[in-house]
Amino acid sequence: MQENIRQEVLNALAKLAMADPRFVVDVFDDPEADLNAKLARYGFSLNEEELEEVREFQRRVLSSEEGVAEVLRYPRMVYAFWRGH
Amino acid sequence: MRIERALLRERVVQVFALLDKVIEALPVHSCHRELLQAHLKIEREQAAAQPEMSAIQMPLLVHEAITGDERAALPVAAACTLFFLGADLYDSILDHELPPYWRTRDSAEVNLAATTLLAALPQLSIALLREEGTPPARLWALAYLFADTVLELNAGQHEDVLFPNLENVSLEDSRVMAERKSGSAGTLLAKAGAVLATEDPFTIEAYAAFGLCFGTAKQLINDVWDIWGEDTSRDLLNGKRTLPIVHALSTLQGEQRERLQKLLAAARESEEHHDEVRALLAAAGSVRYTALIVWLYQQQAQNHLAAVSPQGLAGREIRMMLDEASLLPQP
Repeated sequence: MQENIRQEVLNALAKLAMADPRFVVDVFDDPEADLNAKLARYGFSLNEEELEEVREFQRRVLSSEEGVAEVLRYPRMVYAFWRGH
Repeated sequence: MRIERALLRERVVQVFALLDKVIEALPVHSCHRELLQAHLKIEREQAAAQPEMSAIQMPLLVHEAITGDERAALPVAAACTLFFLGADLYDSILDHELPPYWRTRDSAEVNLAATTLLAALPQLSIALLREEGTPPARLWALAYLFADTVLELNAGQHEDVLFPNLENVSLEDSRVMAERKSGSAGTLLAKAGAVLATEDPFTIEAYAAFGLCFGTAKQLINDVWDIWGEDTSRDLLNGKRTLPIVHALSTLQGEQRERLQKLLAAARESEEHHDEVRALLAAAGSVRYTALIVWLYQQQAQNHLAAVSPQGLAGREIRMMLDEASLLPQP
């Protein structure tokens, strides 16, 4: 069993997310943008495996965006959606 | 792949059977015992319906992942379950959301039951390990761990109660509060199983760190579910400053921020404003943001597990529990 992403990278991402919450929008909102370049702008240097993990997170967040819109109309239905049932 | 529910239920049956024994043997007046038994009956039914309850499963799984045996950890799982039942009852008192059975009782009775569950019974359950020959140093380490967790958890609960009346609660304040309030409980569940299983400090601390991240991730998930899961949000009624709310307050500016502040005040009085608050939180990207923080905790928990490589079926179950601690749709 191995680390997917180095602990120091996770700690730095968490620290940045607390200090500058807008970085989440900047980095993850555009699926067409170069994720590696975006992260590099914030000082991150990820290897290919780590980058793939972050890309997978981005894909799952973006695919759930429809759920956020639905939340406003059908909270109970989307409650089940978030729980992955 | 999902965890075998029959196995989860079997553990629930075994732990609650031990709780029956602990409460039956209490040298107290029958009315106090009956109060505890009534609460236990309700919680047993809930645990049978949702056997994933990590207070039961986690200590047993961690012990088995280290030693290959889970049965020896039954008193520890019982102690963790009693602790959880007490903490949960206190949380219901603080948030004015007592379950139906308790609404008809005197509030002093609820407090007394919660105190006994949280502070006294876990220690008595741990004491059962003496009969199994557990060394005194390990018993002391477990007793200290439970006391330390009550302290940390209460400090977090205190912040949770105070934050609605403070002007500027930061994201870091809210995150640390979640760690104190629920990360501490997650630490207890994993660390208690490890403390009984081994004296190796590296293994114990790795499981403790895993539990902190797992417990905090689950709290943040609950915070999102509270807002979107039901028509009425208890957290909005109680004016809570959970991470999604603090995020929106931190990122929205000008008129939108003022509007959110007014709506949050109105949402404490009536649920009719809850949908408007939800709309502003969604516009601020607060669900996405919380999903990122949960994911980071999940990844950190995964790293701490990787350091100790939990083996066998128990190791697989622990990893599956962690996989489910996410706000994102399952891949």
